[in-house]
Amino acid sequence: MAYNDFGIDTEGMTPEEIHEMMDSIVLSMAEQADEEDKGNAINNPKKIKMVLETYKALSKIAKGKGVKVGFRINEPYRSMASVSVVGKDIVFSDTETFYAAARLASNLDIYPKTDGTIKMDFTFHDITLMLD
Amino acid sequence: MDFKCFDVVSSVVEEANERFAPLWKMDEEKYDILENYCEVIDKLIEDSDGISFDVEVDEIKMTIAVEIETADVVITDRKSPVYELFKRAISAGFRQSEEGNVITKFVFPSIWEKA
Repeated sequence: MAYNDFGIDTEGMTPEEIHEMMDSIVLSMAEQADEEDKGNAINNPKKIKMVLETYKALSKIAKGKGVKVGFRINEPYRSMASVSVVGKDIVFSDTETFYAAARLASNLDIYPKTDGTIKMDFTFHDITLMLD
Repeated sequence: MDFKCFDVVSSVVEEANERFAPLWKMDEEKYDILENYCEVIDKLIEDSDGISFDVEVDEIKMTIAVEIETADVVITDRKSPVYELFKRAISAGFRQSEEGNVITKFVFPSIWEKA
């Protein structure tokens, strides 16, 4: 991911300065999420529906030996949810449905795990509505 | 990586053209669309610090498989052209390489038609 994805001009900064700045941005986002967690909030039904639709769609189309699809709501922060697909060799033949489902999520992260599998995390942000 | 996706794809397609001739010939329009796909793949490789790249033509189905090896894949934009690429592929797959990286595989439809 390029730093200018965040609209930040890093010209003239050393790599150490850039890392420090990125660390402070991440920490600030975590603090904000923490604050939101403490407040009164309810799950936004429309957003929860999106999470469940993504889960259902991916459950149906994700193929491969030992492929598992799961979801988490209000984790790791109350305002977040995720759908994950894990497997050694994950294949999607219904790419139209994959396209529609994946784009409901805020982010998609695909990374290798130490057990030789691949994990795909479809993350949803702002799934709660603050009451106060 | 020091090469472009379309350089490799066009080289593989050229070889395939010779193998499939004279019964099959390449559709120029579909070939041009491959170049568009490659622009997106080049960007994905650049953004994900691509490690390796492979292109293969299936001899029987004549589909074109493009595999990219990266440390990971991160998409933060719902409108990312990478999603469009998934939509245009016949299938998309993910597995781990021997070196413990992510291999993303796009299988694109055949660009050959009966001569």
